[in-house]
Amino acid sequence: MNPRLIKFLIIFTLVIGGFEVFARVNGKYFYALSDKVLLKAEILERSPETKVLFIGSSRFLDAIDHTVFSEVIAERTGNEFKSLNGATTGFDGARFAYFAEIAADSPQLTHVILEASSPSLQDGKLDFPDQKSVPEVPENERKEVFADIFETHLQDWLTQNIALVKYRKSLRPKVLLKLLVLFTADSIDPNFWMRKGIARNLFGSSEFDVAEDFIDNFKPDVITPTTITESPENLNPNHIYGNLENLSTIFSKNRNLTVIWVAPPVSKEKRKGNYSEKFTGFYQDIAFRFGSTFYDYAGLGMDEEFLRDPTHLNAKGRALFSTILADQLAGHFTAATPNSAEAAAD
Amino acid sequence: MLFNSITFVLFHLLFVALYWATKSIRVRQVLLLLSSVVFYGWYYWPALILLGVSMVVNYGFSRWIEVATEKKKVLTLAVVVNLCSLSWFKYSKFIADNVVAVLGQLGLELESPPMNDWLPLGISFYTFQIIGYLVDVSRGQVKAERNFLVFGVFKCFYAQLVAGPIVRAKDLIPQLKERHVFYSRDFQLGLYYLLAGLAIKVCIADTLAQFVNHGFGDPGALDTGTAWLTLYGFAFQILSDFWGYSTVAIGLGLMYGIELPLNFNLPYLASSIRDFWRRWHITLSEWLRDYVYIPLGGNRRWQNRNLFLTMLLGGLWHGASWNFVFWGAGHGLWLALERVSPTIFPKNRFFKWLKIFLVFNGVCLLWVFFRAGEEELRAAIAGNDNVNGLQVSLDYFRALFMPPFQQAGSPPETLMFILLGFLAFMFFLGKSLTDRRFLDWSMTRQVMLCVLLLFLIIAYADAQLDFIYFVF
Repeated sequence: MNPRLIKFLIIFTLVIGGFEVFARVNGKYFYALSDKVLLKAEILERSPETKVLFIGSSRFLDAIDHTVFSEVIAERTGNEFKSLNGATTGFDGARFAYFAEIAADSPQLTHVILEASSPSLQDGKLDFPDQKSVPEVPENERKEVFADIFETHLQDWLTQNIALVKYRKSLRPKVLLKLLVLFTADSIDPNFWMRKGIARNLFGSSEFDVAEDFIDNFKPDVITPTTITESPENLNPNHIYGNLENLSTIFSKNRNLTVIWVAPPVSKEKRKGNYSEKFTGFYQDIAFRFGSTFYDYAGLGMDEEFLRDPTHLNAKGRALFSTILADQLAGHFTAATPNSAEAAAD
Repeated sequence: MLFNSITFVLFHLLFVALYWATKSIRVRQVLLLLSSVVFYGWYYWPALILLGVSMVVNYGFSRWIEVATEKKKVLTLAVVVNLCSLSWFKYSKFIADNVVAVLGQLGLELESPPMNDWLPLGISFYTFQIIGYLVDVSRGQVKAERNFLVFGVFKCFYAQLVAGPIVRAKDLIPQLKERHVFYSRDFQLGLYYLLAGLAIKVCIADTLAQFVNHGFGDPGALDTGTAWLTLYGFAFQILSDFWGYSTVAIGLGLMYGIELPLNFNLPYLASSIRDFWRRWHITLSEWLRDYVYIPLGGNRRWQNRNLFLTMLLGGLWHGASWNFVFWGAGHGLWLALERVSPTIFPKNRFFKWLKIFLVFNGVCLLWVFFRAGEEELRAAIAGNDNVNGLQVSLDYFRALFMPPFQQAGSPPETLMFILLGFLAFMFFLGKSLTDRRFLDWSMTRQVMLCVLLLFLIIAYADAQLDFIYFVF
């Protein structure tokens, strides 16, 4: 064998080996980079002064500017509440539950604001690097194709034992750039890079000019534990209700945390589909049983100039809604007691 | 076995190691045949029966043609047998459905008879390759191979069995009989081709596939801008998918010391449709030229008709769907028109790029038929006969050209960025693959590029999608 080829193979193997060691040593960061939810969880952990956490899907990601929210809260209450929009695209019930566990155990948080909408409450499946890729299929349902079984087990073995394979998604150029997001999260809004329309966000204006009475009339349906005396009758629970209940159970273990649910606004055409009696019944039941508060904006139609598409706000809509939301939630940030629905109602 | 699977990588490395561990040509030939058999039968071993029968029958035909006094008659019989086999597996349902439809129009209501719905992997490729070989034997251009082992490897060498390149006997058989010496530069280049081809497939083609599948899955929901971007996305998806496959095939061959022909040469830089077919799927174009176009009369007479018919057949070769007929006819018509049209553009750099732009867009528009046909084929393989490729094409053309030109929705910026990034990546890789400059680079650069390619493969290889040409 040619010495040049031997040298090539040795250097190639050494470089790969070096990266493998590097990935093992820095597994925490590679792990965080391999999924959007894990990245947000890592950003939260690296920011101990964050007190308010938003969790939800792309609707929340597009609807909340946490800087504007914190500024308005400070203006209204005189208290500093640093907030983080932890919403991500591709969010579902499973990811919600994962993040909820982290938020419920997080000692720094005083408030969590959760998205109460159908996308974020759909059932889903976590796909994190430390999860087994071999599906748990019952023996009698398993398709006995040797080639498939062999390949799946091979992939699984590599995923479990080779760090570069385990964290493979974090090796994608676009994902690697998020390392910058992680380390600059304190100075630049991490969501800036994760929302659709980066170019338009960069050059577009987020200044909004609306009449005072628009804000005054933009009032959500508010469901508080104090306004409900008993659970609604004829409730027909489904998976959305199941996820609401599951998440509420997770949060109920931390009595110091104020839990607020928000259904974000959509376009005038879409509001009917997003605003159903069924959801109101679910919200009332959960509010009654777990003492949380719901702010339902889904029944209010947003004008087109504030929307990126019928269910997502644009930069202008984000600035407007974050201001309105902070204004209307300010009551929760003045009272010292958790789950202070009475204070908010006042 | 899929090239983009770990099983395949291990399998290939094992057989390459065994191949170079022995010096006996006979043992190497056995290893190549054995590996090809394992490769082909890995997912569905009954497919080996058809391949084996085809191997034995065509071995017999080639020997018969060589000794026959009326070579043409034996050749015709051999070609008919091969085409019958291809037609049964690939076109019988299409023909039956169309006959039933025509009879239905004439008032004779019949039900489509139950036809074969299993398409053996690579049947179009290995049938064309063997027909070419039989024609070459009848023309006296190559001798019929007496060694069944060598013939078997020529017929089913796993590097190019499933989706080409379509290899000529005169190019491959002598290499199979040669006592190869391990040549480090070939091995290193083969490794680079393997990594580059896999990276092109899993990183570019499979990423674009997500957008393209979404767009062609529901063309009615696309706005004009998204429809055009999705179409460009498909143009680069099919290029990177097939080019990636061919590059891997060449790399695999090189690791055994066997040289396979180039199949692509930066086709979207073609400045005429003729030029495009000299750069796209080169081995199929050459096959069609030598075994269809020239026998039809070539440049001697009825040149336009010959061009049209050749491309029509080329279209139909891809799949049993009217979409592929229209796609082939479109290319045939364009080639014929280009031949008779006067040159209107002056020769300078600006007009050269303008021509490249026009050819690229023309090719893209014809891809609509192709992609819609693929949609129909994949649906049929999955047991859904309700997808009508022509209707999908029509809906797609409507999205491309009919108002409203902009509907509510966000422009797919991600797709735009991906396309731009991939263009740069493909241009860089394409140059290094066509002129083999990789070997002239410094060791550091070689290693860094291979590491980068390996990382890209690992990072993106979680979908494990089939190669597009597997359905043909």
